Amino acid sequence: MADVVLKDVTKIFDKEIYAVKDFNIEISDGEFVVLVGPSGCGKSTVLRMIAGLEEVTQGDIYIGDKIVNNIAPKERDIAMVFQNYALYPHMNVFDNISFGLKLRKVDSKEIEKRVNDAAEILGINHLMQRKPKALSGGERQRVALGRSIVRQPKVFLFDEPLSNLDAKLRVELRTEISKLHNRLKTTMIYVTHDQVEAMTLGEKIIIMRDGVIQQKGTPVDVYDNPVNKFVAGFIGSPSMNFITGQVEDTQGLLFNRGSLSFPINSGAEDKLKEFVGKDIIFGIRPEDISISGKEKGIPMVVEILEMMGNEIYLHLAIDQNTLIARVPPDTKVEEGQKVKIIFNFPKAHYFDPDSQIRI
Amino acid sequence: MNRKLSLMGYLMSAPYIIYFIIFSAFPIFFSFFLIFHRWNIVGPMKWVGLANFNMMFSDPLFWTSIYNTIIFLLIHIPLQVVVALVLAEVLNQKIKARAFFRAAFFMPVVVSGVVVTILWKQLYSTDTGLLNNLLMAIGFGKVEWLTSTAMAMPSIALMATWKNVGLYMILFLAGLQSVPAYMYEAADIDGATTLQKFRYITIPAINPVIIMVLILSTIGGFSLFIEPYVMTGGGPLNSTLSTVLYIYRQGFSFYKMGYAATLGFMLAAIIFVVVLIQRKLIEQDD
Ligand SMILES: Nc1ncnc2c1ncn2[C@@H]1O[C@H](COP(=O)(O)OP(=O)(O)OP(=O)(O)O)[C@@H](O)[C@H]1O
Ligand SMILES: [Mg+2]
Repeated sequence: MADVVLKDVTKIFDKEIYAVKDFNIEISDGEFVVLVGPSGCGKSTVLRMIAGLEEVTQGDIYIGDKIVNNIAPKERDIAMVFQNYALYPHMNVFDNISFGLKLRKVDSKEIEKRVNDAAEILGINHLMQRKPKALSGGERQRVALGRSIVRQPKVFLFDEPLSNLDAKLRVELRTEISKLHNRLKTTMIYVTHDQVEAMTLGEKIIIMRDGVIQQKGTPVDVYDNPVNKFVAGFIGSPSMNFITGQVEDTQGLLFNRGSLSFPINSGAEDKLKEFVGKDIIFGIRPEDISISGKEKGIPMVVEILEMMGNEIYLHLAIDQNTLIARVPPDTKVEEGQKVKIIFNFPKAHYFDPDSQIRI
Repeated sequence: MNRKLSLMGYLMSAPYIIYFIIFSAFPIFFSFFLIFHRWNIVGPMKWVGLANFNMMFSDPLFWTSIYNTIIFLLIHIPLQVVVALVLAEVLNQKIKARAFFRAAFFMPVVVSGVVVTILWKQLYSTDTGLLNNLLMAIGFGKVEWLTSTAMAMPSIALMATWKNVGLYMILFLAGLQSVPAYMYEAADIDGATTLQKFRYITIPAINPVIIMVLILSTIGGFSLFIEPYVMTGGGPLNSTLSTVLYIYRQGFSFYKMGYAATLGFMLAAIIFVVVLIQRKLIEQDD
């Protein structure tokens, strides 16, 4: 078990591709951290640098309190689950899982025990004699997980370990990984592009974009207080609604976007004053929009109604402006119906259209 | 329309089919026919039943030639496989001028066997050869490369390896490049050393190529001919008399076509059995 620290780490491929830029994170011993971001933002590269599979262009990586920049992967005592499983095709499942232990000269009884324990957790006991070729994608992924678990390393690195599973299995294994972390209390760094996975798993999540950290924090924190428009839009499903409009000052501030105009009353008025006469981006999450039963509210039309079972997604429109609202399943609305909506202003966000930063 | 198309197909494959009939199918059937005959090319054929086989089993020189060929294979094949694999591994690394070396090692493969053999005959020459001059220069004695019964066959095996190793190196190189990098990365994380990665990842991954190389070089080795024919004429004291050279002599020096055909079939049978055993021993179940 160990802390993992990245100090000003930069990775440049082929002298010009900045895959990771000035990356600074401190992960304390036993923490479960999720790195999340869209495809190609450099998540795998960060993980591979920690593992030692990719050289660091600039900066330092510490595992424990040692700089590991020039230490070979096998000396770092980490285990990694690869995005593409990376199982050994000519070895059966048992040999795949136990290979690392055999190389480290672990006693064969101990190997047997650890492999069986891992297989039990992952539900792959019956597959021990099969070759990877004869496994489904999900089974392979579980074998890859098994291979890392038995090692009992200082740090676990997971590169989208659940990406190829069906929804049910994904939820199951997500829970399994959570439990595993609770039991082992080993530092785990988990990469995913799936923000739901990030929200449910992480104690701390780190949101990346184009090789740069956008925000670090607890899931609740990044959800409620996104630092910029990217984070606000990336976290949460369906995404936050964004509307660009003008701030006007007519006895109190007014957000003006033609037919979608409303007074701003969120406690942010002080900061928004300097935007009077300028553009601003208004952001509101789907669950912070509700249908008003009374005459009050902004008029919109329900264009599409998506029944999700436990909730309804309403696609609302007025002129060119569209919004998605998430309302309780018993809401009485129909497609084509004219409704009045109300924003939960304390939960609304405002972004500077130039810097994209939250005001 | 369809008939036209299929006619076109036959026409286009005709050159190979004609070639195959004249140079493969016909000789095979004809030599099978010859096995039971005595024939000196110009005279009439005479049916002799199994007499050619009786002769073969009591022909010490034929068995000497088989023995010689096996000695050749025992030196040549391990040397060739190991050297080709090592070269491939080295030239698969990111080293300077790697394309140049790849081409250089492949060169001898495309040079005519006769030319190579004449060249090496000069290199191996006991009194004027470059090799012995080199040995003398660094303080060793002369080696009778081609003129002693003990050294002649190993010398030929060494040369044959030099000539063919490039081809097998290329095959291995292709095999090595098809081993995905992530397998080595996984092994790195699992804690494997370079040697362990070679043993547990590379070798099993290229197992099919190893089998192919073994079989190809076994078959190629059994047909050893040009080298002893040009270099030593089978000597000294028949120590480099290879089976194919012996068959050639029976056929084209002594005009015993029936007997030569019989020995040819026997050689084919031996090759078949050896290759079968090789496959059994090294093929991994999948
Ligand atoms: N070996 C390489 N050479 C050049 N560019 C690379 C290399 N590896 C990655 N990149 C580039 O670096 C960037 C980050 O890649 P990385 O694999 O880390 O993304 P990722 O966040 O893991 O994406 P995904 O979610 O699709 O796996 C990408 O733009 C990619 O094209
Ligand atoms: Mg990735």
